[in-house]
Amino acid sequence: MAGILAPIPIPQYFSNAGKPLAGGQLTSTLAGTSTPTPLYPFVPLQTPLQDPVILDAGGRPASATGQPQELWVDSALAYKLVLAGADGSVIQTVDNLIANTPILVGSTGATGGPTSIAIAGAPIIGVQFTGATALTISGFSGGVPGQLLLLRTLGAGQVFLQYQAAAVPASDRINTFVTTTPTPMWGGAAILIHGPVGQGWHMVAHEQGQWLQFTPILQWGGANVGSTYSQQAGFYVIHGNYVTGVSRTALSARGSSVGVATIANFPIVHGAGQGTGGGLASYTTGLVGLTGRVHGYFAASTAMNLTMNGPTLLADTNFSNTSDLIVMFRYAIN
Amino acid sequence: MPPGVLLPPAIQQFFDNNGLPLNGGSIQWYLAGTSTPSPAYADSGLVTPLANPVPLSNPGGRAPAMWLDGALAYKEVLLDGSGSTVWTADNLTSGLQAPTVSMPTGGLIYNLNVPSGPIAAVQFTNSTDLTLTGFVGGQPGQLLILRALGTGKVLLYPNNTNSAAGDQLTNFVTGLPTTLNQGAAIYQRGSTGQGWYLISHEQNAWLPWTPALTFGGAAAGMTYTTQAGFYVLKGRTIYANFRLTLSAKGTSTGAAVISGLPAGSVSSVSGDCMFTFYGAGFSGVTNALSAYVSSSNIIPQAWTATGTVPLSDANFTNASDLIAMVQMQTS
Repeated sequence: MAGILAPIPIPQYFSNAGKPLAGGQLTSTLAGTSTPTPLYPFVPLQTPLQDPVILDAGGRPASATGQPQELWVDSALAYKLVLAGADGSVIQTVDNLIANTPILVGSTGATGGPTSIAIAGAPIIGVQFTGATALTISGFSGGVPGQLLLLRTLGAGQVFLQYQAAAVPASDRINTFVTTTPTPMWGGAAILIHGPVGQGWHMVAHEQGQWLQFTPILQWGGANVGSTYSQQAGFYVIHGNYVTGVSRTALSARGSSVGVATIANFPIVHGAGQGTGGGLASYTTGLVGLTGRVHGYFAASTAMNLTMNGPTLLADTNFSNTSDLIVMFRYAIN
Repeated sequence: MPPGVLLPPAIQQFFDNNGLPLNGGSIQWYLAGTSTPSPAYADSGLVTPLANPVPLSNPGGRAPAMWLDGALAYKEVLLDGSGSTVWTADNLTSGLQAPTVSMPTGGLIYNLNVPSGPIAAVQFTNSTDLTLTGFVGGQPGQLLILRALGTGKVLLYPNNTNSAAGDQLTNFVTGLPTTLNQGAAIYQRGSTGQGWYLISHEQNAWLPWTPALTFGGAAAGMTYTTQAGFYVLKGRTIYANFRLTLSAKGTSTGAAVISGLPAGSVSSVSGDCMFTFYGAGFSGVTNALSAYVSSSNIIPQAWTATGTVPLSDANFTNASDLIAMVQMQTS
């Protein structure tokens, strides 16, 4: 358990001669202005103290009836305080006073990378990404242990968080949920917390937002000689350490390759030791000789074998020049 | 450079009304609002409690560094050398606790007041549904943690102009409200003039939707024994389940379409995916059932030797039963 230093709830003020500033005045305004904004004797901040606050015989802030009072301020505001004598002569002015728990939010239109992003050390800080094109982040510099860092993508560009990038100091690196691919955000968000001294940023929550695109490739015997497509697109989203999405491959020419049929070029390597992910076709046309529904399982790191009726593998002979296949997939990643 | 903070009050010195150091004085610590002693500590780890009351130095009237438990609220009493009270300060907190607002009622609220601070929280205990479009108050960078505990849903609508621009919500999706069904969310207030940006969301319990089967766009005379769907929103992904069990298929004819999804699909694959868990009571279907999603409609299919073919009224009977799942991206 960590403690906090005891506050000074009831301050005491003195004249330049060291005497209690009896009858002195404490005036509060918004920082940099002469706009009055009150001080409060307790929370919640409902009943303000008189303005200016008059000091009692001991030089302490007092209520209208002369009782010593605590001083509370609105943590959302910045203040200017003016200490004056009983005759109103100014003794000291302090400006731009803010709560001791700063929280910040900023934005960057940065694109490109990989690059390290400098941030201010504060208990909580938010960064909005507004870039129109993609940005890859290798780390965050300038944080402090225990700091929360909230990331929010608002621009058209994707933002990728690299896992433990060697190019930046260990204390700036990002410990994401997945290790084999940068964690994407696209209209999404993430929460990171800075570890103890020497550690970097640990991901606490992540939402990718918009799905990312990839290009699935039909192969037979590991090749696709002469194949062309009328539709060839896939989309995926990462939740935690699994990826899910959809792939469509509509042939305009099958080509000449032969052998076991696979869908290759999945966007992220299938996780070793994470079980066997797979897929299930929801729509097909133009196939030949099917004896059952089309399924898939990962036989290689980024390729899915296609089967029907259990273990029966699809092959080039099951495809035509107009074969069209939509597959939903889900698999774990490391 | 990180933002600065004021030097903490590590060394405090106390004086009497004549300005003389409060030699022989002391500080008594209690739990707030009580006479239950609760000591200050000599170390930030709160391992070694100080004497309570804490004696002030003599001469000097200085206190040692006094560390408090940030999770507690205290009452502090300053005593002079004779044990008389100089002043009492009650309800002292660290300011680090998240002020929590309780929201017990449902209805429609465009501007819910939230307190300022680094972190604030709202607990919803409404037993009827609550629609919210904006939060008033707070400060730039502030975290707002929402937790729905009641049986009523909390529907958070984005970009609603009934709320001031600086109080509106920016969610991950715009086509349907972000809903807490005994779930939680975290928003962060943007810079001055900006509203609240969704950072994290967990819907929790799935929400209902009503699947509706048509043939050729109509459903004359169709009745169900079961007609229910449920979905959960995760980021921009919708996972939806449903079951349709006919008791009468009616007289409409044509291609079968299932409508009623809570939002449309935006995938340019022209058909996010769906698969069936169970199908029974179909006619002319010798292999498995399947389906794909086109916009907000589900197009059921039957497997053949060459792939899938759309179902029509001819494939349904008065006892057709279909359980299926949809997975799609929405906007």
